[in-house]
Amino acid sequence: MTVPIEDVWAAAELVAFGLRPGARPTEGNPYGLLLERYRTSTAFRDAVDTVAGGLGLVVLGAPPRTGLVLTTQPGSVFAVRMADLRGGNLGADDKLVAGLAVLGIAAYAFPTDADLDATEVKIVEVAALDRFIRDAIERLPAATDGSAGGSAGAEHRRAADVYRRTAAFRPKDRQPGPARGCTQFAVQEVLGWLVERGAARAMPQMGPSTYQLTDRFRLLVADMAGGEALSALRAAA
Amino acid sequence: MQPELFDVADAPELRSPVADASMRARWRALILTDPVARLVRNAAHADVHEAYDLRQLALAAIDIAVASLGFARPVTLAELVDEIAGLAALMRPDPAAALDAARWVIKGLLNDTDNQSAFVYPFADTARGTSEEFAFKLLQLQDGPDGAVVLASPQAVMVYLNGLDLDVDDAEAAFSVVLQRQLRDRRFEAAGRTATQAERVSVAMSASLADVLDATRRDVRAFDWVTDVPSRLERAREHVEARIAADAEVLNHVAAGIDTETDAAVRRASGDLVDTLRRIRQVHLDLAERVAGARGVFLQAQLSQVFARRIQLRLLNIEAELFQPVLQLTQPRAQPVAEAFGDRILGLRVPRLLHLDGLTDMLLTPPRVTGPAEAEPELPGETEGADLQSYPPAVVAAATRILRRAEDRPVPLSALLAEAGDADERELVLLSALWAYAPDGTGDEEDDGLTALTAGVAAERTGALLDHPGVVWGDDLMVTYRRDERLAEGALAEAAEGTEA
Repeated sequence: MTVPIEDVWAAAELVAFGLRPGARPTEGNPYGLLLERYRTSTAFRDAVDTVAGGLGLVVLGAPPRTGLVLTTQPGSVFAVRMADLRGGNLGADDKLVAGLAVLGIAAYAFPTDADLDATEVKIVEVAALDRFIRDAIERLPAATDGSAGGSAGAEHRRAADVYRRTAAFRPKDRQPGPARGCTQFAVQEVLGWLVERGAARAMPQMGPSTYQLTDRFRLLVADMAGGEALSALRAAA
Repeated sequence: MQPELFDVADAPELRSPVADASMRARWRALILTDPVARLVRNAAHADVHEAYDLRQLALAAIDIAVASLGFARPVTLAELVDEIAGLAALMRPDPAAALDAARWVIKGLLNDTDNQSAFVYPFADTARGTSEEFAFKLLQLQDGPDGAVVLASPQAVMVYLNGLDLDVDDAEAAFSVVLQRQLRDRRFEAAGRTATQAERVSVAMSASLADVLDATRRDVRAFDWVTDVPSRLERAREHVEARIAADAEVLNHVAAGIDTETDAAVRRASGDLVDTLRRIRQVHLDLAERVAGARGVFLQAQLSQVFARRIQLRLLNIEAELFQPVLQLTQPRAQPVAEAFGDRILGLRVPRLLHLDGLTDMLLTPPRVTGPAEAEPELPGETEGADLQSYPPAVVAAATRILRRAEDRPVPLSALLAEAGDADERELVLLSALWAYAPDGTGDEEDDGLTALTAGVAAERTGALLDHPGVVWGDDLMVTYRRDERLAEGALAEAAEGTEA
């Protein structure tokens, strides 16, 4: 099957739209038209998937309201690892707390497996989410080998204890909001990263540190991150 | 155990009222409003001022959500909050407290205390000796192009209809019978009230059909299009046909009455009735349009979804299968799992597009000395500005002063740069000129400050060479500065913040 060169151009254009977190498809704008083509024409869809694949990207889906949802293959020029965030200044504990915060947001947003297929979205408030994670930690069965005892080295501490021992809130100097080094700051930072990637949106009408998760977040969790983390978990256990 | 005590085989006359067939329906109608009662009860603990009538606000929120679903486009969460806060402000004019009350009501309707899951109530089925759960939602959120949109559930539609637990079709038929009778008895005021009720039912019917179509657009399998939906559509079509004819008849009847009526009160009541009936007719026409297009929506959705691929089966319970196991792992083992997840969620970052201003700045700044990071972290809400610098007001003022030298006649950029006192001033002057020469098209949000600046500064290439060792090298620019009263120094500062320094 040969693809007309104009279609390759259009396919690349659609991928470019998908890469812009701010771009929104509407009925009739160029993004919307290309997206409609992607959703209705198999040949065009294959062209887009191929162009994306060549760039090291995977098309996760194309919901009409969200646009093209892309994620990266390992090693892609677009890939960034959590370790590189905050200018690579993330310490080991910070990294774990941030990772747990992402997992916590997903657990909060999708309490049952059916939720991963529903299009409902949730609003997330920083302090409430921190409480949700801490409640989940409280519900865990107590550590069996006394590793929560404090004197244990880093390699024996449970992830839950790393989170639990970090203060929930530390005030900032003369400014509202949490300061670096507490878990609420980590949650807020993670939500900020999600906003940058179009997976969340600030929702100031519902409160100063309130965010709305988008459909993109659901697709990322459902189709990529969940599976990856499960295989990592199987490898770790 | 003495089972014979409960043996009621000999006394069939004594029927437990709990076993009554209507019990379940009435029970449901009763609990539909419990979420509202609950949010009112809990408001005392949440510092919501008692002057706010939260029940009324909750009903208004549901009304807006249902009505918007019945018509053109669902209301966004932000709009709903604003609307309810506006209503609350009428009860007590304190904008901050009114906003708090509005947020509280909407959070309550979303069941925020239970992580926005469904409201669940256990129903004790005495006939079968079991307990079953009745779960429902009132409002739910969905992602939309302008932020989350609020959808009303079928249960919310019932609350909208005074908690009637009956089919909306039946309700409307019932209202039309009542209306006819009231008209025949010339009880026009009562007829007006009934007509308003009938209008609400029509809107509700339209809303429930909108729900079906919207769900179908998302997933063809959401509703049974083989038998259920076609019969609903058929009913709706018959309903519209019958209603439009009946409404026209009533309308003629009332309109004819107005001309011959002498009593002013009756004339006014009939006039209102005519208005309501005209509105209802419009609702019916909208509904007819929706019914007519429904089949097309289904076929279109089927066409575009038949090829949709499932990348994976999404049978994953994140909390139980991922979150809790990870929490229990030791740190070195949990790290790779949490990172694998986070990398995938946060993994896509678009490299910054190179623009002239960014490029020169990036190439020419001396390498940064890495020191302890003591800079105040930015708020995630302002993430676009993650790597922005803002200039102190003194620098902005100095840069503005320098740029103003180009007010009367064009001045080469090199001359302006020579004026600058320190590195920051020089940088700001340089960036403003470069920005004016090659505007950066990224980020819509930044445009306000940017246009304000480029409106003030204009730059042309002269062909001469610009060479400031350690600062900039390249074609020199001829800079003109147009003074504009609107261009306060604030605008310049804002634009300067927009530069991706």
